[in-house]
Amino acid sequence: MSRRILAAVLVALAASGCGMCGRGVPPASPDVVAVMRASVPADPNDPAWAGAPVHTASLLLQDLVEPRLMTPSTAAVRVRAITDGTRVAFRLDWDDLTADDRPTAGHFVDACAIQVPIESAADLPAPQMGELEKSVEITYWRASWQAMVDGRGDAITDLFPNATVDHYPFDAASLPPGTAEQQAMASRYAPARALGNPMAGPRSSPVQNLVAHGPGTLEPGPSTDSSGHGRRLADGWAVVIARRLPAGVGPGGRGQIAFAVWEGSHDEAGARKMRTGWVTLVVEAAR
Amino acid sequence: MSTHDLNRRQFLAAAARAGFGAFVASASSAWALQDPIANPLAVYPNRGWEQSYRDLWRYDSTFTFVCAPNDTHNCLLNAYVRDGVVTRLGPTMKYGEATDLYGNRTTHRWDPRICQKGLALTRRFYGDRRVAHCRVRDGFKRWVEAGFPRGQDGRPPVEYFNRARDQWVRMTHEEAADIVARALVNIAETYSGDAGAERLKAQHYDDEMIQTMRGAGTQVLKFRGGMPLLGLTRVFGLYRMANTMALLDARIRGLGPEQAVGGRGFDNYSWHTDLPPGHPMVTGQQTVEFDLSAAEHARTVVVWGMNWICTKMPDAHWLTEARLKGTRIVVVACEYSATSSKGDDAIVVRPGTTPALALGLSHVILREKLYDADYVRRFTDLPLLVRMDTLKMLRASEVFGTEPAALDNQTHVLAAGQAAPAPGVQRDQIVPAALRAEWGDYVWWDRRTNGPRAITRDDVGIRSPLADPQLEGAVEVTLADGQRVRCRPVFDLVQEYAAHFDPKTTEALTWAPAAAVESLARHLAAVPGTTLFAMGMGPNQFFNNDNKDRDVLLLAALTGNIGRVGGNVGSYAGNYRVALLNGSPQWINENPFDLELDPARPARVRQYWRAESAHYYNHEDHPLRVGTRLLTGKTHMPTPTKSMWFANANSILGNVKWHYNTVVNVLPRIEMIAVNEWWWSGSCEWADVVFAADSWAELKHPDLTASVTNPFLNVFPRTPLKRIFESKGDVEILADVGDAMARLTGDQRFSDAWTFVRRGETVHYLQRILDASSNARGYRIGDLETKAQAGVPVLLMSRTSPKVVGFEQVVDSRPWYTKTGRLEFYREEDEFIEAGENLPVHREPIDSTFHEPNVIVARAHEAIRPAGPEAYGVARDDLSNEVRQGRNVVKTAAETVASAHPLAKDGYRFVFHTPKYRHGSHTTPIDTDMVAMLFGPFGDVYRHDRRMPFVTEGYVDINPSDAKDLGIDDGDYVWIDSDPSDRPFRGWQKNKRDYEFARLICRARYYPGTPRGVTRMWFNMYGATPGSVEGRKTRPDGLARNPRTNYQAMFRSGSHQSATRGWLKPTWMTDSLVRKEMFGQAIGQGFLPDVHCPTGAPREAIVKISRAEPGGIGARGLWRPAELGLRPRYESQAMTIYLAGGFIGD
Amino acid sequence: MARVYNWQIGRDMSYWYPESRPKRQFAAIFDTNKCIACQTCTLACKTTWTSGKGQEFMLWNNVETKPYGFYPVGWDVKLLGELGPQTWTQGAYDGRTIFEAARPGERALGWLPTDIDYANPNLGEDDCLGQVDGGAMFSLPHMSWFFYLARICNHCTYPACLASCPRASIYKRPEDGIVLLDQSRCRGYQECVKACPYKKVYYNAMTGTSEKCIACFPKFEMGLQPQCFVNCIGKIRLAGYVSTPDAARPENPIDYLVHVRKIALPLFPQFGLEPNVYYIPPVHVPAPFLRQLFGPGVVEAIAAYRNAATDLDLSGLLGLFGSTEQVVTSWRREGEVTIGRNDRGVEVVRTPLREPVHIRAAFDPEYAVARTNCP
Repeated sequence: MSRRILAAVLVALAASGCGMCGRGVPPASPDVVAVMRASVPADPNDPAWAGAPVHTASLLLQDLVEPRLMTPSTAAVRVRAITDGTRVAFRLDWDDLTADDRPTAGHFVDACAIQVPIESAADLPAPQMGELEKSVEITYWRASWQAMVDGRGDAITDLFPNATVDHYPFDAASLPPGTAEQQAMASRYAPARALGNPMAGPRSSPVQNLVAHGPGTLEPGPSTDSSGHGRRLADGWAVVIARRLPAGVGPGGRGQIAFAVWEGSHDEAGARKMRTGWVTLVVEAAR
Repeated sequence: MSTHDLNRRQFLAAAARAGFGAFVASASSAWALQDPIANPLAVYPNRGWEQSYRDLWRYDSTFTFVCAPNDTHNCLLNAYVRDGVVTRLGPTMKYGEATDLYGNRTTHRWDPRICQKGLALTRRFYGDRRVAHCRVRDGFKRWVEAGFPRGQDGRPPVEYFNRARDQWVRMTHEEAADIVARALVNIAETYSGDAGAERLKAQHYDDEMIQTMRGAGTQVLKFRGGMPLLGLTRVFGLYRMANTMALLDARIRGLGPEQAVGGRGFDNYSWHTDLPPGHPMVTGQQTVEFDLSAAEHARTVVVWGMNWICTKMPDAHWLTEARLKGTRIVVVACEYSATSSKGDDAIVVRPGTTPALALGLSHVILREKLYDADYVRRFTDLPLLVRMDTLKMLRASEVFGTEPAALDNQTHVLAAGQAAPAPGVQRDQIVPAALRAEWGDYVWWDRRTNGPRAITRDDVGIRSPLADPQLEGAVEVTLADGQRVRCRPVFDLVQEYAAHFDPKTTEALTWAPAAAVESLARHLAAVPGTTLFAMGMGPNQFFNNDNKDRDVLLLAALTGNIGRVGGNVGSYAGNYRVALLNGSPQWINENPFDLELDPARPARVRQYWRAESAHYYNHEDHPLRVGTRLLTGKTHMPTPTKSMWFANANSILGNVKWHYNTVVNVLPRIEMIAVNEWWWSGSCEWADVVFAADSWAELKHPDLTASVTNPFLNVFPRTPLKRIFESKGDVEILADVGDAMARLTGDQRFSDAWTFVRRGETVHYLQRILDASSNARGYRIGDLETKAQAGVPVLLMSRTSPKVVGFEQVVDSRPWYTKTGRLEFYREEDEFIEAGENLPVHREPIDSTFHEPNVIVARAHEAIRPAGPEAYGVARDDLSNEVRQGRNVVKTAAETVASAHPLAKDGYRFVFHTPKYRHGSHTTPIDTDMVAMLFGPFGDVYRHDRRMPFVTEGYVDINPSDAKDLGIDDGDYVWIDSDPSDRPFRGWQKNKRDYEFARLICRARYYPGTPRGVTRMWFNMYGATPGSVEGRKTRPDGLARNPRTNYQAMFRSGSHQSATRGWLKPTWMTDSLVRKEMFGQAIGQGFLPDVHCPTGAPREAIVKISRAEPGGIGARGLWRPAELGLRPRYESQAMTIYLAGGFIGD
Repeated sequence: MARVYNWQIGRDMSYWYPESRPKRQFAAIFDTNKCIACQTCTLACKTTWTSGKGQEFMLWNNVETKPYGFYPVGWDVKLLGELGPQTWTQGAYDGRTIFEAARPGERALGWLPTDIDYANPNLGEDDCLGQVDGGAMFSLPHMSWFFYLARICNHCTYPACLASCPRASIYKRPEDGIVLLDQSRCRGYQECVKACPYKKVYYNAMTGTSEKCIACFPKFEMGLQPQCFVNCIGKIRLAGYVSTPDAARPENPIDYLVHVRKIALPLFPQFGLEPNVYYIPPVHVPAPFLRQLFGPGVVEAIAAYRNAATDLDLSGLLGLFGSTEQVVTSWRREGEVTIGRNDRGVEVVRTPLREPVHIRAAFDPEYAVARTNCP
């Protein structure tokens, strides 16, 4: 609780945002402006971010559909964007004093996402997960996936260091490790993995492409061209999410984008989140 | 919708086409843009994913095997195999198809037979404590390779014997067998003849023990096949090995087959304190019991100190179903136990006092003349006369000058030198002529003629002539020589003694409410012969266990409840009656000098090995001497223990009573410890050689077992499962050592003794056993194994199914195996008179009492004239533990209750008892994660509190008010210390190194069901070893797991055995008690392993308890469940409402 | 929210989805008087379904000692506390169900356990209410008492897990009413874990999805009882189908015990889920606590059970429990024998009221050997 108040105070104090990247104070911007560069940075630490304007998007409670988030947590997310003309990278920064990257029973993880309409049209989809015939594309980053990408193992002791397990059927001495039989046995004992559920891990990317056409319809997206990289800062997260430019939003063009942030320590997951409405995305023209 | 249908079709097609894998790949994409689901109560669009669970259920094949820890159930289980791995187990559900040779058949009410421990066995087959290959302790290997260097007194240099801290060397089976064979030969040579005797003297062994060896060095080699009935060849084979040691003695001492002596075999049933030692004292045979399915044929079942639903789990339903159908269930326990919750009535008593309860119940029945007079006349010695001058039974020869009568009631008197037929084909009782002459006949007083009359042991049941015997009051009998002696019927003596236990006095001694004693006594007497007394381990693990048996059997006899289907006594602990297959001598005692190598012909039997009670080894390897008196009978006398080789047994070392004294003070005198095991137990920790044995799932040699609680004869079938590690069958391990012995000695017979094992034809040995067994002859091992492979057992061909011991006595008027042919409640032998136990008395427990220990509770009684301490040259007030065992001091109930335990003043105020629980069968398979996490309230597979030794841990159950008084919170860690004079081990004060792993620390659990002053710790958990303590201190996760062996302790240090001790009771060790031999119908006298033999008293300990650490995670604050207000005495407001049912108003 | 009828509480109630009952509803009877807390059911389930990574703590089937036992810790006390004291009137529940008591933004009143709440899975084992301080004699009902409560998913008619899933990834199978959680679609929001009052949905940290009891549907589809039933050595369990009261068939063992004899009662019917595991209440436990757990019918149920000794239909039918792996959908008693038939009308089991006693001749001339009880 006191943590959250402190977080709010910090937000208020934060100048035009990037208090923690320690490389001068970039200009603030009313829109999300994707500045044109030769390449899009993959790492939040990339010096290129220093030159990108910051759009501070304040976050709203998701209180439109059950289950709703009833008490606010993260106040705002600071967004910068860089494009190379085909791909665009967004850097999302937000304050969060608790690093939540262990998804265990009753414990949720920090996460963020960007959302764009699946096709450019005059009338926008509903900002909350789109709607029928007006789908949205979402790229979702999750702190626990980042931890796996950064080297967290796939054993129960990676979550509970003192745990001890006598035996898994797929570890039987008579079943040579790595053989097809052994791997099949291992996935049988994890049905979600056997079924290829993208939540089930282990993962090589901290982000996932999704599509939706309304609350409750979220599904894995067809394209897997997005990438991401999050870094834990002293008192928050800095996450880069890169993807191709949204449909119909080329260099010099304009589009719409929305953001969402989940605060694990506030039991946020799925519809229980802080989110924005549509924000204008401006893509610089090629030089 | 159409897109969705398309997706669904594509997806199912994909699944069908390329099997599951392809389906997996397409599963998520198949969902893209699917319509919102309207009502998942009604329809769900895509259910193809359900295949994943169907696939997890699937298996490639199944096979059966028998799970036989020492729990008496012997469940045939199904193993389910996928990709060559046993992934799970289950019941065969075929017990309802069991038949016998006559076509009798069971019903499916016997199914299912299995338990959670059995289901967890996959974790043992594959787990990291599996004995994967043979191991020899490095120091021991060096000692052998150095040529067995020894000092002047014959002792090996200590540097070779750093047990439990040493490194281990991996070996092949052949190498390990060779090392064991060399050690056996060397140790036998070292202690043979006069030189050997001199060495043993120099090592300060008791002279009697050395004499008992009669020069045979092989007599210091001890063998034990832990609970032989659990595997007739596999486990019992070690006794066959002991028999072949006669070949070694013959070679060492240059003797012939006539003089050679074999090794020594430790006892089993009595070693486990499972034997009710009073049963042979009353009935002349091992134990009275009934198969548990008999419960539903009784009007009343008294569950007496038995936690039936925890220790007899697959047969618990017979009890609950009997109750469902109107049987009254009365549960007597020293707490509100699991089984109490299934009782119509639950009586809570003080631990170790139920002998007095039985006397109290008998008193009411006697006082109100409610006893079954007919049963008393026909089947008991109660009408027979006792001489008050000598306290001996009056003999007919003394009165009438007659010779002992000829016997013809199913009895054959064996002339000297005449050979008895093999046990399995014996029909009549066989009485050696010498004993017959010694016993003579007895005398009763006929009230109709007002004179004495003779009675023989034939005259029982319908042949009993007793119409109107005098039962009460003394008579004066004129002997043939004119002498007149005052005599009293046993009944009269018993009645007078029992009169001291009126309901009020009984309540004062036992805590059982007087009203309960009165009402239960009247209920039991109301309809004679309709009550089953199911006696458990509880009362049997106290020092006064033979008193308990004699008193309870008296109560049962007075109510006509011995030998009837719905009216009997049973004593339940361990699976012991190896005589169920009384052809076993064909295997264990085949004459090694005259082996039969023709499979079609029976073996010629000669027993060269001698039996011995392991309780002497447990009693610091010496007999009981009190002051000037040797109280261990000559027939019981042990020899020094220099080598121990055992199989399938953690009780003899890993979980031995007084474990820490044994490993610190006894083991250093033992020169080889070899173990056949498939799971790394505490015994392996302390061993020198560990042979890797097959698990039950891997047996490649079939074997036999049967049970004392169910009617089945089970075969361990050979299994198709490929051996997972470098294990061999137990019998193959024995054969390997036989071969090695042959190589070392040049005597091929060592090897020939295992010929059929080596040929993979163990079946021949099994068939010999079946052919020679009363209740199995007619069965073919091949047929039995085929049935077993189909999951079907057969019925043992006992006289009845369910088995009912005493049935022949009641129905066929067959004499009991006693001098009088009757149930004998009076014991006239000198040892009993000297102990003040010629009558069935009550003694206080020897340690687990708040009062003066081990006193005989009695009013002045003409027939109770024990030898007091002075007679042994010790002071009357000497209550030291050794002296206490032979201390015969009489006190009245009032004096007893007013007295105090000698350590009470020092804060040792808690009875500490260690019963067995539902989560283990002995210690099997208690240390596997899935079983352990459910064992008690402290389980946590993720070990949030790093202090936990494992995923659960040992704890003491204590009355919440007692704990509060000690400043102990629920869930705290506490120290538990027993008598500092010898526990946890003698000399701990000067030995910090060993004290570190020996002192007991555990959790305290507020347990509302246990009376004040009574604490309980379950018996089943693995204790700490030097290695487990090392693991706890060095591993990052803090697990108490030996870094060298993976041994997993469930205590941070110590164990329940830190508080127990080895105890010897004189009446367990007489040379004079008459009892049936182990196999068959012959009757003998004195020591007999598992029949007349010490049992120890592992439930006896008085302890001090002190707070060690807070229970909260990381030693901060309260244990979480208490903090949350969910524990007794910590209830939150919501919990208080909940307990009262207050969340629903009326 | 829709209005649906819940016969267990004798009234309509609100629920997230409109009423829709499956063609047949999986159901079970548990006789608490025979449960011995051996945990064989627990291990049977665990070794079959939850032996994988992330499932180590997970017990789809658990057995706890009431009143001090819980898995997860305090699961029912906590919810009852939030719901507050409620009442029944003439067999109808006039309190609030968890759907009716839902907080704003929620679909049901619930609470979310954290991983440490699953520690101590056998908390309170054998702890009795009513401290025993010395010698005592207890007769029925026992003044110190505990009893064992075996628990699986209740495959409710109105599941809270199903109602609470924002993705509608939990569904009821129309053919048998088994409630399943789609492992290919779940995104691990744990809304179902929070909403299930029985706490029978579990989050798997290694797969990022929630998992639950599946009533061994791969077996049930084959006409076989689930693992925790077949392995129950206390023989306390019978699996089958339950009808609504108006459609009860006396020859259906479950209908007979639930609707005709009324000796088997739902667990916490007041929560409003119409759970489909029915418990024969323990005869030795005082009524107030039992009413709180099983509703108003406990006194009558216990009276009927205590009368089974003379009620041969009842004792006969109860004798079928645990005697066959197959699902018995009809039964009949013929004198001393009770017969069970499967869905196809094939006899699959017959049990006698009492197991026969076989007495053999003392001497067997064919094999020239004595047959003895004292060998």
